[in-house]
Amino acid sequence: MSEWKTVSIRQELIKQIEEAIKTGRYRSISEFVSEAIRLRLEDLMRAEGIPAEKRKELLLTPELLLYTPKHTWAQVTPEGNIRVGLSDYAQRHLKGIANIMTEPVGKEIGHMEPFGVAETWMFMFDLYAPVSGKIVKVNEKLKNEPNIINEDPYNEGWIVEIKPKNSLVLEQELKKLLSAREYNKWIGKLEGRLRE
Amino acid sequence: MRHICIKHNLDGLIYRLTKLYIGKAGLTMATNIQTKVRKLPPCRAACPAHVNVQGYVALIQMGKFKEAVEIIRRDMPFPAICGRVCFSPCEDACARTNVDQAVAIRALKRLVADIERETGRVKPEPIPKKYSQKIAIIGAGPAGLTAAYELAKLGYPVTVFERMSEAGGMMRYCIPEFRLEKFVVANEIAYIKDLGVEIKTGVEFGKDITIQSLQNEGYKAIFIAIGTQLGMRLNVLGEDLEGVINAVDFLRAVNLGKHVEVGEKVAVVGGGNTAIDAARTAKKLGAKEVVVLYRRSREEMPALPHEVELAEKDGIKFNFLVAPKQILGENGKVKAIECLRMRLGEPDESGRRRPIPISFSEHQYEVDTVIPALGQVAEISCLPKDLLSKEAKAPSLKVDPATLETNMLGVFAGGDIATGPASIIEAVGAGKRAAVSIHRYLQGMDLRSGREEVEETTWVKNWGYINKKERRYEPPVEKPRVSFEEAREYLERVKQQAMFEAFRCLECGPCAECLANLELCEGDKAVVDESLCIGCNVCAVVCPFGAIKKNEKEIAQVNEDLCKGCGICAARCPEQAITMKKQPNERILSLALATIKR
Repeated sequence: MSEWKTVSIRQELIKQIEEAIKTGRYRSISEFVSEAIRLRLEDLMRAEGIPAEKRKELLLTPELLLYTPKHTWAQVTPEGNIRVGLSDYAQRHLKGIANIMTEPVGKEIGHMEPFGVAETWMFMFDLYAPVSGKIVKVNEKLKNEPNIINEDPYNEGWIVEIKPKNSLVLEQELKKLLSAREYNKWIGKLEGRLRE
Repeated sequence: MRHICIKHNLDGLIYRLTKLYIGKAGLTMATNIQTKVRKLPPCRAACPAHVNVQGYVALIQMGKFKEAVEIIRRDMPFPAICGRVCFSPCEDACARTNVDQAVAIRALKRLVADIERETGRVKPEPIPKKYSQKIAIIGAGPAGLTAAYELAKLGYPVTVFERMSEAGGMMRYCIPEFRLEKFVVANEIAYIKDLGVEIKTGVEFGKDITIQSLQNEGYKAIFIAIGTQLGMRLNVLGEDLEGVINAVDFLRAVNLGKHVEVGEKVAVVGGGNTAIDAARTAKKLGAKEVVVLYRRSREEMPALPHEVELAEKDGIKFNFLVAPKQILGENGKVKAIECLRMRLGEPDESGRRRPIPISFSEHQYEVDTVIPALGQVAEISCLPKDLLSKEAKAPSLKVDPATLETNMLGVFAGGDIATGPASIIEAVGAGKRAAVSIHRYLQGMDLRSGREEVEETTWVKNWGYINKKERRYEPPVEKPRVSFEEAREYLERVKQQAMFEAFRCLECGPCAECLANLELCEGDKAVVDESLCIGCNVCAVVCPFGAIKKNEKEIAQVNEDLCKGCGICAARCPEQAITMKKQPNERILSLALATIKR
């Protein structure tokens, strides 16, 4: 999200995209562009010989994640688990992070229920699970260096992986989550409220 | 900034006289001080490390939280640790106790340290090495780390050797997590490391290194601060049964993250802070019933009253005036502890009343774990024989109490090893004293002359005629659980509360030495820059001595005889046209004498 570049698109292509939007395939031109960039990147990476798993990881950009209003993001991993982390907005509040404590592996948690605590020097912040399920993996790196969350909240700074119970429930829960755009709006709202 | 002092010392002269009297203001180390006695406010005089309490409280009043931490760091490297676990002798000495309750100094210290870290880790600039003599410090506890910190600030290359895998000593391994978080200790030590102190962990003194080997490696001075690591034994029958674990070993094992099993019924023997810590830890580990057995009564308990209250809240029972006679076992395991009742006799040399056993008062408590917490002794086996004192009683190491010298040249010792088990802040004080001694020893100066002596001074005395007001301020113990949005509001509220609390300080001592603006503090006479002055006349209005007047060119002019160097004009000038210039001490003295004669 840090660098913006202007992308020029041929007029004919825009017409095609607009038609595609009408059919409901894409929601906006920018969504098409980001999809196109993603596909092109994937092509490039395939040409370079990067394995499929790694490719998916590299393509993980904040725009393609789903968010909760409690500032956690969710991403579906290749194994079908849900990887959970904290957003950049949350990270800005966690400059003095000292500890990340999570429920142990194997613990069942519900949708939008706290699965752990981020401890700073003065506060305890609850972390909310975007989906229900069982914790299958905890990021052990955070135990020793919780600062990773500040440096790389979307990749290295993931916190837990949750295995959903069944796909039906998962789908419903994922639908309730916010897209990057909706989430940004929500943050804007929050900040505005704070300024008042 | 100077106007802090002006709040209570309108006459800048008083300030400067105190400054002359105490020597160069703000120097942590006593190395340059020529005068014999330093006059300090009661809080600062009571603190073994002489932390500038009045200074940082004055800065908190102004909302300068960052500067307040820096003031604390001038005197000691552990603001966050002491803000959590110090036994706060400063609060006991506080003059405000005459009116209602002491200023919550410890809570304020914790708050400013936490606020500083809340916005990210603090990284100091490494200090350039001014001297070439290498210094070895053995033991990375509070005493050793403070000495390393002070010596590194002076510009020495310092290496700290530590036996355990992590530095911090008792702070890291014996204080339970719920009183002092591990990340706090790690963070404070990281700060010391960033200053340029080298800490080598996993090096055992007596095995991997000896005094001889260090001296061969070229270390010019050695400071031994290994502390007291062994728990004292009960010396009763049945002490070697399974289920008897010493409090120090118990707490260390828990802090190391080892699996420690406590039974359902636990008896802790002793009445110190370690006993309370062990009892609370045992309760948190799942013991159903924890009872503390102490041979004197509650008044004589050395543990902090606040901690005892917390323990009672946790559901820990206290049995006073009982002493263990023997531990009874079954199949090699603890089954019960047999105790004798006591009564209190005449006060002994420590001033507490001596417990006297009542004969035929044996009774038993059924327990499955016994944790003796009777105090600690040093591991003297690693020390060379000639360092030890001949007298059998503890303290086991012979040191000069003022200079911390041992009878070996260039070897100093301090902290718990020299005094017996004490507190963090006393160890910090010892570390500071050792740093001064080592600096003087290496520079070939006299170790004793002009050594800082501290005297308490305050204008608040004999408040007997005032009715004491009731006030109970309890700083929050638990961290608040909030959302990200609420955190900012909460922080603002806490800051406001801290400023109000700081305003309760009576500022009863001499200059706070907060040194928030050195230029104004050091200056003694106002000088007007004519090119910048706009002739607004603000300085003439604010000057309490009428020393500034506008001249015919519509420019402010300072009357040198009237100016007392308070700095109000410089602080108030909208164009920064007034600066404070330094005057020689002789000039200040002559001015002072002239005023006294008048």
